[in-house]
Amino acid sequence: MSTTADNQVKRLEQVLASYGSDPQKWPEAERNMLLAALDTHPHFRAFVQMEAVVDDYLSHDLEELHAPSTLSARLQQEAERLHGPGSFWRDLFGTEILRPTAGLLTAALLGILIGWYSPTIMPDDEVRFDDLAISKTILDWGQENENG
Amino acid sequence: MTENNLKDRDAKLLARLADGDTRASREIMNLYLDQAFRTALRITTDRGTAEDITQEAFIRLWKAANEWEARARISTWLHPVIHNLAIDHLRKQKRLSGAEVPEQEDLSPNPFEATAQMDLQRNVRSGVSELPPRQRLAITLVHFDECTGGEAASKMGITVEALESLLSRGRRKLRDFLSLEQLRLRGDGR
Repeated sequence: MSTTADNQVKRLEQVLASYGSDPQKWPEAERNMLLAALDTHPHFRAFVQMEAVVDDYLSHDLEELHAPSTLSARLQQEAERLHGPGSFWRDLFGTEILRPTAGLLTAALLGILIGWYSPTIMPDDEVRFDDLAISKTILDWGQENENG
Repeated sequence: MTENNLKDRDAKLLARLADGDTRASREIMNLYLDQAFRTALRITTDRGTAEDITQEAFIRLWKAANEWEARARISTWLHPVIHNLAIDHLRKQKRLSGAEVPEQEDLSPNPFEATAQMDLQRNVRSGVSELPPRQRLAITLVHFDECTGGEAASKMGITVEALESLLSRGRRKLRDFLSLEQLRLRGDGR
């Protein structure tokens, strides 16, 4: 065997041991050379079979494992926070500085809006003294009782 | 579905999400969450850490929805993020040395790691989770996440030769693990 052929065989052995039996995973630059080497050395087929068992095992590794439902719930919540309805206001008041003043700002904004659109919302009647109401104080009742 | 169709589908899903249709986020999670979680778990072998990493990666994806272009599939974008977060985690724990020190560094899992592995195996048996961190990472990148040798080596900060050495040692251990599993199954079948 020439040195080049010897090197090719060594490299084939190394690549099979590292990347497995699927030529698509082999280094692209060497793939054709290695496939040709595999054809000229059929005894490597047994080695390929052995690596295929490991590949098959790997392709089923953890396949029945699913992400916890609590994780997807948290992520859904986060998606709704970032993109769901109302995210504009949350973005606006979501910053560290604005968050504590959010309530105050909202109340002030509401007050201005109400004042602007409904200036007559407060009763404009002047408060009048009601004689009857004034007379019916406890003192008056007392006087009435004394007078008989 | 062709690669371009998949890219378009992913872009449409993210465009819907950016427009406020949060059902799209559910569809994205149905497509990619399990795979992302498995990748994080394979690398870290710790469920809590894997959850944190997956959550961080998906939150970054939600934030990227507004500027998403149909240049890549979501998985192509998501996996490097998970790899980097997981590699950062291993580095912080000093379980992933940048130096190309072979075998000794990887020999046996620490007690913490061993407990995590046992927890993992209670639910799902995984030979990959029994490998030392660097071998596990190399196999995850090349076998599960379709990185080329060059890409995986660059992510790990090692040469391609060192990567191939980690891969072949990892696969050898998996073969041993498989032989043991077969013996165990035969024993259980009796």
